[in-house]
Amino acid sequence: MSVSEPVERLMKLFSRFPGVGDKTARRFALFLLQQPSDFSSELSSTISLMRDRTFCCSICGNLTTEDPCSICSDPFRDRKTLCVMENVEDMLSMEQSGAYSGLYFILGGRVSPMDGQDIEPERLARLKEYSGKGNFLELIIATNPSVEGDLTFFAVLDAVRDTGIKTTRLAFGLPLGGTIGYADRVTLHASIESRVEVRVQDNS
Amino acid sequence: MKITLTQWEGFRNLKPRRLEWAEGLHLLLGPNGSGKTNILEAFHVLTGWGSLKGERVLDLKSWSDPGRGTFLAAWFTGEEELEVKAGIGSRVITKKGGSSIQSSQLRPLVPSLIFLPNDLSLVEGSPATRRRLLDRLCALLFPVYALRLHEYGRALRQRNAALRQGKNLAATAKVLAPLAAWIWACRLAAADLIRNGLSEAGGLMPPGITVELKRGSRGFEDLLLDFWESLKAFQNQERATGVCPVGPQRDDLVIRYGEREVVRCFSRGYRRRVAVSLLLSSGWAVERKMRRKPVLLLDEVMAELDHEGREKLISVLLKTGWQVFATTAEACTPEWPGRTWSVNAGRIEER
Ligand SMILES: Nc1ncnc2c1ncn2[C@@H]1O[C@H](COP(=O)(O)OP(=O)(O)OP(=O)(O)O)[C@@H](O)[C@H]1O
Ligand SMILES: [Mg+2]
Ligand SMILES: [Zn+2]
Repeated sequence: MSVSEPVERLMKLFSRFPGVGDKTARRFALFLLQQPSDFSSELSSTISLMRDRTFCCSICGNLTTEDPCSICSDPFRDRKTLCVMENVEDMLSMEQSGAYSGLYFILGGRVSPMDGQDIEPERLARLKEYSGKGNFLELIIATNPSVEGDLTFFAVLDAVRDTGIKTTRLAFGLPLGGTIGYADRVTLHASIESRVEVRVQDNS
Repeated sequence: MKITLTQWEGFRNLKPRRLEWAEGLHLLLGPNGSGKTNILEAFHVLTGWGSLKGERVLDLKSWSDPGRGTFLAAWFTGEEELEVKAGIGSRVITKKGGSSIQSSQLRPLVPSLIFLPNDLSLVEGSPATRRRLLDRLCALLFPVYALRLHEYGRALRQRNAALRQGKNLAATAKVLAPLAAWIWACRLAAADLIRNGLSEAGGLMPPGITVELKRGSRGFEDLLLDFWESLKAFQNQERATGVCPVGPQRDDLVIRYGEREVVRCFSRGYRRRVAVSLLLSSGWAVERKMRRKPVLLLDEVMAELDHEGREKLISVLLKTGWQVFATTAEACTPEWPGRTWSVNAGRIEER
């Protein structure tokens, strides 16, 4: 190798990031060397600080620096709806969309026997306890539209069955803002199959 | 649909070439290893399907000149005018009329059916060979089929993994059941269409051949119930063997002549004729249901038919009005009512 040992070590670390290959890792390392040294010190201290101060919310499992997290302790959120998600990343996407204002519960895993993955039994027990104690009127199980998402969905459904709370799952279908003419055939067929009944309401 | 013009470059052993194709029948004639199957494979890729041997995409690139780009193009007419281009690198990138499209989305636009030498043993071969016939037709008729079949396969592997790990199997069954029922419904419809189409095979084989889907289950009428009941019935076997013995992965297409199974009562030559008829029957199903004429790719189909069988096949093919590309290593048909092309060391010329 033509680069110095510390640079190479850093590159190796960078290349472990998701979506970062050897080339990008090298660019990152060289970029750091070009910046004033303050930047590197701030970066490393921020990383340490993040690791030291961040933990999982004891209620929902969200990443936080205070317990309970800002979502669980937000008085303006809808406390009657609970959305169950596989991981924090999915939850952040949902949050960013602004489509949802209820509370969350992060499973911290998914069911995939093939990959040796499962949801911790304690986590499901915790969900059961939480959903039973709260005053929830609806549980939304927001798992992916895939075989593993289905398996996870059924595991969650099984855990919350006894609570008797109305349970729903995200629908799959046409991308909004798109047009039917441009949708691929697979999506069209899937959306036909998951179509919903329109209730004709009496406007009187 | 019909192929009117093709172009290839850096594809397998084929020399770069731009070619116009007439409608009707085409015979690709050439010695072993000359590139006949490779030409069919190029058409296969251009109609939305992968390589014939299920190898890595990179194997499609010419060995002799790996640095050079690999590129296929075709123009189609018929029920629709279409321009398809495929660039082959680490994966296949397809374009329709200049804009990117998933190759699987080409399939219903230009329905193609292929018959490989192994398919000649369709009648006596393993059930997987016969399921492939059904799956090809289903993938053309039902756009979600390929995806659902893939999901089913994945869910099945999940169940077998759960089985080995001694985990609870309830969730995998709930995922499998609706997929299995859906796949069965498609395959039943496909088997019906094939059965109806067989009557048109006119003289290639004796009348009275029927096909029927034998599901990998107890066979209850309600498909969803069938899956659940069968799973229950074979519970112990499943635990003992560690693989799920129920579902579409255990389906078969039973081919009968009257009361008997064709595999038991027909000579080898007649079993070949039945195999070819089943493919033709899929073609009729495609034409009837999709309102598009299929393109037929026949690799070495003539080889094992006798003179009468070849003549009958040719007359049936002529009647269909489909575009057909058939390969053969020997000039076995004196009367070929279409164009004949010589293929030699990757070069193709009209005779
Ligand atoms: N990626 C590739 N690059 C160059 N040549 C290849 C490649 N893949 C296969 N070939 C060669 O192409 C040749 C022609 O193969 P093909 O299967 O089309 O022959 P064929 O005319 O169908 O012969 P047969 O009558 O034996 O079926 C083979 O000899 C093979 O070695
Ligand atoms: Mg060949
Ligand atoms: Zn929280």
